[in-house]
Amino acid sequence: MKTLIYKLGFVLMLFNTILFFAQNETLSKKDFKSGNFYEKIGEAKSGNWKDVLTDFMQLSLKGLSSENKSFQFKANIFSLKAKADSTLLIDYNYANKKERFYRNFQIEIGLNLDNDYKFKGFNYGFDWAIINKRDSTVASFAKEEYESGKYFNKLNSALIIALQRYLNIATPEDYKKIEDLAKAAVENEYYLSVDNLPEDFKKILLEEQDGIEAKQFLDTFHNELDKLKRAPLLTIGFHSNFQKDSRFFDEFNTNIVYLQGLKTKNGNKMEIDFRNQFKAKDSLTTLIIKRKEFSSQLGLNISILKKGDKSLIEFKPNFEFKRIFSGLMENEKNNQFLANADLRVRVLKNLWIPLVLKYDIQNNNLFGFLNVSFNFDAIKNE
Amino acid sequence: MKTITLNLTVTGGTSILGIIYKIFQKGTATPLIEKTESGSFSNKIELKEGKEYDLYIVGSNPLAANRNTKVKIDGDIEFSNISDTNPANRKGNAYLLTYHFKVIATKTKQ
Repeated sequence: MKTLIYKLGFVLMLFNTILFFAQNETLSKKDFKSGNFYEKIGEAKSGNWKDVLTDFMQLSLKGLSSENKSFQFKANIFSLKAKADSTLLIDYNYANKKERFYRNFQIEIGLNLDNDYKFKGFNYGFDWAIINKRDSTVASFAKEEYESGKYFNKLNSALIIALQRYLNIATPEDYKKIEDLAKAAVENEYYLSVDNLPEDFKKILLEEQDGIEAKQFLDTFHNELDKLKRAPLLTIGFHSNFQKDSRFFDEFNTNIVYLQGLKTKNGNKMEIDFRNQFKAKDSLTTLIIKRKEFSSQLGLNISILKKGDKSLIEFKPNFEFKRIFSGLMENEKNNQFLANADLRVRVLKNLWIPLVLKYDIQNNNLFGFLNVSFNFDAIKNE
Repeated sequence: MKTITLNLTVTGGTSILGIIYKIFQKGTATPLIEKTESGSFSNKIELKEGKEYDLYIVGSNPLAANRNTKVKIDGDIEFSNISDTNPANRKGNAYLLTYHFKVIATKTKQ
């Protein structure tokens, strides 16, 4: 027990040190917030994605229906810094290269509980997103569109000249009508469509637009947003458990996860999910068992019910291959094939209930794991 | 010649598609001055005294809930009644602001 307290103290000290440095770095002096910007990007991500790499912070209760329950808190370092300085969430600060590592590095800490929800040990770990294209393209896609100068610039330059030409020939009343129409259209849609314009002004505008298709601007803009929603994620992680009367690294796993969004005809959200994990565990029963196993999973996460960009129910059928290198249990085979299915239901805006079903194809065994995860919003507008 | 200052301040993030402005002398259709900017700016513009001008500004706001662009024109000018207010704040996706004004001539002593 004494060893356990020392270990717990060590992890807490490590966690507090990270928090301290995260909150004391000198940051932008500008005092604005853009919580909704961050939220908009976050909404495009699946619940499956957020379980791999949290946007901000996540609290979860895992293995509710199993003997090994755990209570976990994970957060990326950026979220901890942002709690201390919300100006980090302004898009230009958010997209700052300096922050990229902090956004893509998450730390975990949690408690392991037994069947009676009694303390059994604790767990810790980290995940690092080596590739996170949904993050790095967030601020650059719009800038690229602007820098290409293709549509917004050209269309609105043409609109200005057309308005000026119309001002010179039209009655003040007619001009005012067009000006009001243009203001409303630009405010909502970024450009003025030639549809439903009075013929005299439409002719001038078309001349000035010189063949540029206004619709192309919005199409390009939306295409860029769609690409962002399908961008890939690649993470590597290390996780370990401290159990009572155990030593450092008695139990650990390393993993690599790859997620890639797919383009579908009907706009459904789908992503390929490919994971590999190596697990090592020293068990103390009547004798010491050193167990080492490798598992590889390939699946497809499908958003079967969504509202706008927000997933409400996700289903992920996947196949798993498991190879036990050492520490085989009684009646256990070296190679195992499992057919799995994850069902994620969004109960509240930020509350997911993932149910993981695993079916051992060779032995006809079915296992079920029920989890609950709560994703914290980036920041609230106060 | 008189100097007017066009101040534009974007808050809540980055102007996602930039800002364009053009100034015409009244009755013409070729811009005297035209510029594109990527964010907040304060530009000084030299204009002839006693002449009338039309200024158009089209810009995009950041993707944020508290986005805003503030436009303020300083100088010895007189706006027509169809101009937008000065200063003006715009919180939509994008905005079009129009100002029609006369540069006030300096009175010389007799």
